[in-house]
Amino acid sequence: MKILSKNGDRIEFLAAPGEDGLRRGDYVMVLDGGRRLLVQILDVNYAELPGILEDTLRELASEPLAPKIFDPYDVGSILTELKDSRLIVGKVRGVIEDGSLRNDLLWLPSRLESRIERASPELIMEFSSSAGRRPIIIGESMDGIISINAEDLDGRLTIITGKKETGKSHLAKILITSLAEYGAKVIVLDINGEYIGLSMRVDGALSDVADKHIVLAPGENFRVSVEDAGLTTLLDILRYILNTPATSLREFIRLWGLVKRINGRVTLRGLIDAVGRAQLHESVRDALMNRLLSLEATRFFDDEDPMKLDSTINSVKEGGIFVIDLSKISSHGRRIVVEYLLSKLSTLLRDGLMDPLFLLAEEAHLYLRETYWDDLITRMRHIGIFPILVTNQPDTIPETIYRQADNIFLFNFTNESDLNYISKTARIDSDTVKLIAKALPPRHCLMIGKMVNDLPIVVKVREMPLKMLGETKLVFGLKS
Amino acid sequence: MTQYQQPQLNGLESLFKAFLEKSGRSLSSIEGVKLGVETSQVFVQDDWPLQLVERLLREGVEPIKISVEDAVSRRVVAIDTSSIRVAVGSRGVVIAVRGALVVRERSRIWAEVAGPFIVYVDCNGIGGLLSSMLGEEIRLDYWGDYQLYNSVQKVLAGILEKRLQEYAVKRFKDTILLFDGSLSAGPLDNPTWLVSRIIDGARPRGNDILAFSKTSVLRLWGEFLTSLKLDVEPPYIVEMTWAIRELEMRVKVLGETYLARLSAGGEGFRVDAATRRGVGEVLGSLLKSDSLIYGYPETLILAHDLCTFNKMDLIAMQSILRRRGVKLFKPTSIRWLLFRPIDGGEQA
Repeated sequence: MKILSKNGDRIEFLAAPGEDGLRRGDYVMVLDGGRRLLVQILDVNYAELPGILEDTLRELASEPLAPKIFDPYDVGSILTELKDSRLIVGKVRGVIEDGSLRNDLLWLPSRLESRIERASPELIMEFSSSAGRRPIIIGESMDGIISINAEDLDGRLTIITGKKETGKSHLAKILITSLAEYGAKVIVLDINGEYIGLSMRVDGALSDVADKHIVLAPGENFRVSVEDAGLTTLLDILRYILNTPATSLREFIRLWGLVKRINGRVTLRGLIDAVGRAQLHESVRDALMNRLLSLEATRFFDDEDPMKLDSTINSVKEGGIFVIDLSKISSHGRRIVVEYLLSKLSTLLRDGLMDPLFLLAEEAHLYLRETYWDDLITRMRHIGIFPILVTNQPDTIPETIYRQADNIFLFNFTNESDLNYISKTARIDSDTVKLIAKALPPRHCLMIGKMVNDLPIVVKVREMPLKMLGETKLVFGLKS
Repeated sequence: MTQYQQPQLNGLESLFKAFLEKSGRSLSSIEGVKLGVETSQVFVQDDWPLQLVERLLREGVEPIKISVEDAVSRRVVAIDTSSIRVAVGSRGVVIAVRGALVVRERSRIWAEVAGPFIVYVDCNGIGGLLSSMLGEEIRLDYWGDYQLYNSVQKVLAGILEKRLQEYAVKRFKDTILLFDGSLSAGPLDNPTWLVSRIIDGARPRGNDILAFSKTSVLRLWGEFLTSLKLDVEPPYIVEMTWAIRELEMRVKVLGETYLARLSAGGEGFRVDAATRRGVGEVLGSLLKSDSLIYGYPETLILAHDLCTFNKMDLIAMQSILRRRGVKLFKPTSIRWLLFRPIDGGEQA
């Protein structure tokens, strides 16, 4: 393999057909003197050779003749080799000098004298690893094991994205079980009921995280009191989810105080009674009554035997996975639960009643109101909620979120517009996203960001023996 | 005097065994030698004086109509060769030659390709090399640098072509043999005795030879001798032997020469014929047995395609030289040095 050209951080190599054996995302080093240029392989093409068109046309034209060739100098085999010559496209990730990887060096290795060899996974791990002490094994890459540290996700915004059935949820499960094993608490907003089986292994035995795995089903074992939710949360629910007019909201605030003063505490039934009895304009009464009745119908509010979120979360001492099963409730119900949850968590964390935690949200656009996106990456991160967003529709997450994402696990996307959208992320160039992500096989992802010290790594995500739920239900029962 | 054993024509390998040994030794002798690479392809071409046109205008011509209806379908074998200068040094030149033979028999068509043969030629070794290719001793009084650089390519290609033609003549029977070029003999690349031997060998085996020239000035004649002027529709031929024999002083033309326009809309070509049957009958059989592309036999085009060198071949052969220890460099072009800043062109 030889260097052909370098333009900016893009470098091209010429290689003989049998010489490459490289896959997209692999790393090679160009060695010259004491320095090494670290290059990630993005693509492999045929080399553009002078006369290749003419030669291929001749080959095509002579195919029916099946010519018997007496070729004493075996020029034919050299021609075959030439025609199959590879043009390998790579991205320069830095220069290794004195054992450290630097991006600020202007250095070119010699075209003729330099030597090109594969970089070992150990070397890549050396430069991509952070100072953490809690490794999470993600999978294999370049015939070696690739891991990140749990600390890499701590205090960070992480996005897992890729098209359907590429292994996003599988990776998410690896991350959250590992985080829980290290003592972290993770709240999972489970829209498809995929995370409710984490306590079971495939063979039916209990998994290692069985004692840390708590499923909270809204309306069943997850019911909260109106007073616990608080006036602010209730107002947000009425305003953003149930589209209550401002006049009605003003009356609601008045009634909330009235009920509290008269009954000593606020309940949903007390609010409904107050709306029925109080002197209100009929349209306001109707507006409030309808909305409060629909809140009651969700069965999420229970003022007699409510669950205390902080007690439930704090009851698990050494890490826990709290799965909020949103799969069985209506779209409105989901949004009400999430509104309560985020509001409550913020309050509890701000008041120091709870330790920081991770929040895994799948397809968050289905239940997260727009104003919450900015909260997720600014306010909530500061109070100790660290989101891991999972989506197969990248454009449902605002562009600003991608720009501020610290870590991205990128699975396969073939759609150009999806790739364009993701390539806006600040942590990687669009060439890498477009060329690598497009060709990723299932269960392979490109790891981008702080977790790999900005050294993108393609990894084959490891297997996990946990029971996987939430797979597609089929009409004919067969799945390839 | 060195005697070269006449190879048994049971295959191309044995046909060129002696030449291969010689060429192999010639390449071994250039290990470590610095050679400049050629950047343009040079092909063998016929070179005919233009004054033939003036002569033509003074003579009357009579077209002969070719009948296809009564013609018999026959096997057609086409032969062509090509050559290229791979690298040039101060003492010698590396030449590559390749030949192709295409056979069409009813609906079946197949081909054999000989080469490329790569050989390093210098003034001292040229006689031996040509002799080994020819299978006969060649006496060269003097072979100077000019001849070496300008003629050896043509000579080698010509001799390879004759050897392949002879091979075909002896291998096939009752066949129409299509050669590229003419049946002129005389210069070193077309030894009279060899051309005669090929023609003489063809007749007893029932073979008929037609040599088509793509580059002859007779094609230019075709511009004057239009079908309209001759008052005949293609396919037809016009006898030109008399004109060629009178004007070709340097060479001996074996067989008869015609201007042939074989398809409507097609060009006219010079065709030299050495046939046992009537030339009209042979051409009729050719038209019945082979396809024509712009009036030129398809098998001959295929043979040409198979042997022609392209840039990829050149790169591959230069790679062989490098593997044998030859140091190749691209000579600086004076034109490029002088004019590049103005026209920004690439080094030629």
